[in-house]
Amino acid sequence: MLRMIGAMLVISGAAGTGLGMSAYVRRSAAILQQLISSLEQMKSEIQFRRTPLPELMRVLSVGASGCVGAFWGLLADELYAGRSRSAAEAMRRCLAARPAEAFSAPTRSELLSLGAGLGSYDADNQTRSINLALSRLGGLLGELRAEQKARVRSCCALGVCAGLALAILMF
Amino acid sequence: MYDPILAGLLRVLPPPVREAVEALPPETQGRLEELRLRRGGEITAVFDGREEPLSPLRPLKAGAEELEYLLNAATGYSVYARSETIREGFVPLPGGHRVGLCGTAVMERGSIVTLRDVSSASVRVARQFRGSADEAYRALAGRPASFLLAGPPGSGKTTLLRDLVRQLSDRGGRRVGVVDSRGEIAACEGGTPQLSVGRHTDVISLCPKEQGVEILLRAMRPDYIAVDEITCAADAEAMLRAGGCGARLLATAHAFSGEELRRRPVYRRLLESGIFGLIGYLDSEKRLTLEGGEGLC
Repeated sequence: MLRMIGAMLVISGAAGTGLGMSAYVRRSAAILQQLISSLEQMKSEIQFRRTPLPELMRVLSVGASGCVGAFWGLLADELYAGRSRSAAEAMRRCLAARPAEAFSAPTRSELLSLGAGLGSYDADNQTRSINLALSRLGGLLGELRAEQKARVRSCCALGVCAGLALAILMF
Repeated sequence: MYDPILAGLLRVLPPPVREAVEALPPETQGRLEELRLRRGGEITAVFDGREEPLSPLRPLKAGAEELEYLLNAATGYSVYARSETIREGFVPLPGGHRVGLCGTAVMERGSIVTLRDVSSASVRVARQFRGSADEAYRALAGRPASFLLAGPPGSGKTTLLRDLVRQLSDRGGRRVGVVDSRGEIAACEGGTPQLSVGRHTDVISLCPKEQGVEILLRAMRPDYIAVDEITCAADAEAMLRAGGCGARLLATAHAFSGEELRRRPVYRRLLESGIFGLIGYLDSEKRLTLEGGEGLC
């Protein structure tokens, strides 16, 4: 009986690892998708309404949820407070204030690149730099999705197989 | 502590400059007209037309960092939102204040696209003096006419124009349309005027005069149209067109004297057209002289 329970625990633990990884990938994809939507909105606001950044970040924070919404909200607060010398500095500060698991390293790097020119150009050039960030984030999302199926499936299979192997060995 | 009028201005100043202004005695703050930041030079303040160090005991220097801070804070970290006015060398601030900019012009097809490497900035304080236009209002209330107000820089033309708009609107019950091309007359923020321009006043902000006048004529049917600083032939042309459409005009012009006003081609044409029935001159002591417009040229 104890062996049976142990085997079940090992199998479910191994499968859980695979599922956890799958959840992480799904969450990363959802974050990237939200960031892309936010940048699309950012582009429209700048192109057609010339909305200043503090107000724009507030609008984005309302439109997005979870860590993306919280990040735009934090940036809006930082810009309204006028503590930073430039939008790039504000972006750096806010990214540093977010927990590491909120955004993956490549996503952080893309946000920093976007922040480097944010607010420094006229509307046309600003739109161009947002388009560049959009295409890079889109690329990251594509890679993630392509990876998702193969990686998650192999992780799950590996987990289950490892669990089964352990169970066989134990019996 | 600081004069509440300065609130919109203080928040764009680099922290050491802000602290220096806040440390000024209230009476001195009340006389502050301008702050001047020149790259590599000492930061100065203008009181009663005279420029002197802002902080004589602990001299403050303006560097690239201070000017970058000022530009970012003045534009809300959004150059694109103010590129039209940066191109013309200024950024409007909340409360009607204004940052004038000098730097290296970036040109494209013969026009200025933007300014880079800002080398100096002049932060002008806007103040509202209710009653400053009493005399002009009385003259216009007795005999409605278009009014041209001339004076040297810093003589209070915009302040008087703003009060005249307010009085015509509130006391005279006239519909006044304001083309606030530099955001200094009504200083709208989020669509709400930050300076009192009267309850019958419609404001179109940060719009070129010519287009603003046309929009007001088409959409708002004003009794008066007010514009600040006619400086070029296109502005004068817009005035002439509006004058022919039934609306009376309230406008300001840079000139040190009546003679100079008549000598300059842009104004000469306006005066010759006879659309201005009343001309006002402000001298550097902010004294107003009024005269009828007919037969000026």
